[in-house]
Amino acid sequence: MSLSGKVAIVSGAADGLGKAFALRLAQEGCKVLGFDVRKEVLDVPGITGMVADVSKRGDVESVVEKASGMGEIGVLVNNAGTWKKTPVDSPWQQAIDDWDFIMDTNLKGVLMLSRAVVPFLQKDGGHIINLSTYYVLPAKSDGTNQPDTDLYNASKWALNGFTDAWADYLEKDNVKVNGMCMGATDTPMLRGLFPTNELPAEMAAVVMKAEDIAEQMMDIIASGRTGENFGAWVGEEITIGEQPPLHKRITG
Amino acid sequence: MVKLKGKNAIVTGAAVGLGSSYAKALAQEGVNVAVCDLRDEVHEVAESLRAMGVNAVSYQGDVSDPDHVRAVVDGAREAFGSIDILVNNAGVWGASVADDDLDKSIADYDQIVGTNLKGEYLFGRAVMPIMIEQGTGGEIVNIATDHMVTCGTPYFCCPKLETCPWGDSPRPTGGGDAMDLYDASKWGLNGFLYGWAKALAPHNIRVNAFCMGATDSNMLRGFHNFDPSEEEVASWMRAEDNAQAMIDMLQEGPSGRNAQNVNFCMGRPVRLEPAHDHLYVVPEQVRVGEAS
Repeated sequence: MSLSGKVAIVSGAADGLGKAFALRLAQEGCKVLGFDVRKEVLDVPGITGMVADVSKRGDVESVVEKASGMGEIGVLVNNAGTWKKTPVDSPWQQAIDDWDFIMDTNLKGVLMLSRAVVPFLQKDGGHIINLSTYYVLPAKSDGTNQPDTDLYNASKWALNGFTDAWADYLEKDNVKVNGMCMGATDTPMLRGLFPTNELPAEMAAVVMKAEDIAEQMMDIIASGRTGENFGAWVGEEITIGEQPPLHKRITG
Repeated sequence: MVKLKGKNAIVTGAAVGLGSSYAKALAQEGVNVAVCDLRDEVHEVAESLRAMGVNAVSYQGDVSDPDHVRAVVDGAREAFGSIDILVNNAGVWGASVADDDLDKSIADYDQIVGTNLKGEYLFGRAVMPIMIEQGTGGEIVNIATDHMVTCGTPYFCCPKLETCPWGDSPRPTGGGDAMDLYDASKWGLNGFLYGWAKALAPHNIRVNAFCMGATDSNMLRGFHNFDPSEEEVASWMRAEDNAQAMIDMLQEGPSGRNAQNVNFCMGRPVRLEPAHDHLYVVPEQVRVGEAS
C-alpha cells in the first residue's frame, strides 16, 4: 500500500522521535498532522501542526476531526509519552497523582486516540505504531525495568495488550498494528534525565538517532507485518529482523 | 520452609472465586486475613475465616478508589498490628475491541484498567511503606493472566506436548481480539512486578505474580454466561489447588523465588513448579536481602 497522499497522525510531534517520524512520513508523501502539548509543534516544517493534549478527550476528537478533513487517514503513530520517577515510597497523595500523570497520557491517551482513528483506518487499511520501551523485551542490559519508574514501565508493558489484540481484530480490515520498543535514543526526553540537559559523553557516543528509528518505522510499515514488537538497542544494528514465530511476536 | 502461622495478610477480591480460596487457604495456615470486595458476600467470607480460628476483618468497596484502599490497609494494620502478605487478586473482565466507540471505551478503561491495574498499584503502594517500616520482610503476590506467559513463550515449552491442549502449536500471547483492555491491564502488572521486586529486595520483600489460566471462578463462569457445560468445567483448574500453590510459594520465604511470573495454564499440573530463569531482570538485582 502506498502511503503517498495518505494522512498520517503523529502524537508528540514537537521534537525527538515524534518530530523525526512526522518528517519522515512527510518525506514519504504523507499529509502529516502532528500534534503536541508544546507549541513548538507548529514550527515543524512540512507538516500541519496542532497544539493538543492526547490525555484530553476533546483534544483527541479535535485532532481526528481535523485529520479526517485533510484526506484519507492511513497512519497513526502513538508516540506521545510522559516519564517521571515514581519511587515506591512516595507519599500516598503523590502516588495517586503520579498514576494520572503517567497513565492518562501513556495508556488512556493511546486508547482514546486509537479508538477515534480506527474507524477511518478500517475504510481502506492502514498502520498503527505504538511506541514502547525495550524494557518489555528480554533484557540485554541491567538497565531495564528500573525500580523507580513502576508506572512508566507498567504503561509501556500494557501496550502489549493493545498491539496484540488490535492486530488480531483489525487483520480483516488490513490494518497493521506493531510496537516499537526503544532503547536510548537521542531525544529531549533522554536529555532531560541529566542535570544539564546534555548526554554524558559515553552515552552520546553510542545513543541511537531518531532519524534511524524513523527509518526502522518505514521498514516496519513496508514489511506488511503485524502484531509484533520490534526492538532497537544501543550498540546493535537497527533492523526489523526475521519474522519470529507467532507465539514470540510480542515477547521477542 | 517458613511458617505462616500468626502472620497477617490482605486479600483483595476475596468474596468469590480465587480470592476466597486464597483467603481460606491462608486461614488454614493460621494467617489472619483482611478481605475486601465489591460484593457484600465478603463479610460472610470473613465470618467463615473467623470460624477457622483466625482474626479476620472485611471491607466492601472498589479497589480503584484510593479511599477504599486506604481504609482496608489502615484497618488491617490496626486490627492485626502488621501487614506481612498482600495478595492483589481483585480483577474484572469485560469485552472490548479496537472499534468500540469512545464512550464505551472510556467506561471500560475506568472499570477494567481501574480494577486490574490501578487497584493493584494502589494496594501495592499503600502496603509497601508499611512493610518497609516494619523491617520484617514481606510478600506481595499479583494475580495476572496466562495470556502473557503462554506455553511456548517466554519461559518454556510445555514438556508434555502430547497431553497439552496447546501441544500442536505453541499458543500465541493474548486472550483474543476482544481482550485489549483486559490484556493491557494484566501486561501492565509486569511493570510493577519487576520495578517493585528491584526496589523492595533490599527490604526482604518479595514480589511475584500468578499468571492464571482457566480456573473455575466467578469470572470464568461469567465469561460463559454462568452456564458452562460440564465438560468445560471439568477442563478448568480448581481454585483450591491454586491456593495450595500460593501457600507453597509463600512458605519459600525470603530465600525463595522473586520477580517471577508463575504460570498456571490448562493442561499443566496445578502445582508450584521450580523457579525459572529471569529474562527481564538481572538475577542479582532481585535477590532478596542481598543489598541490605
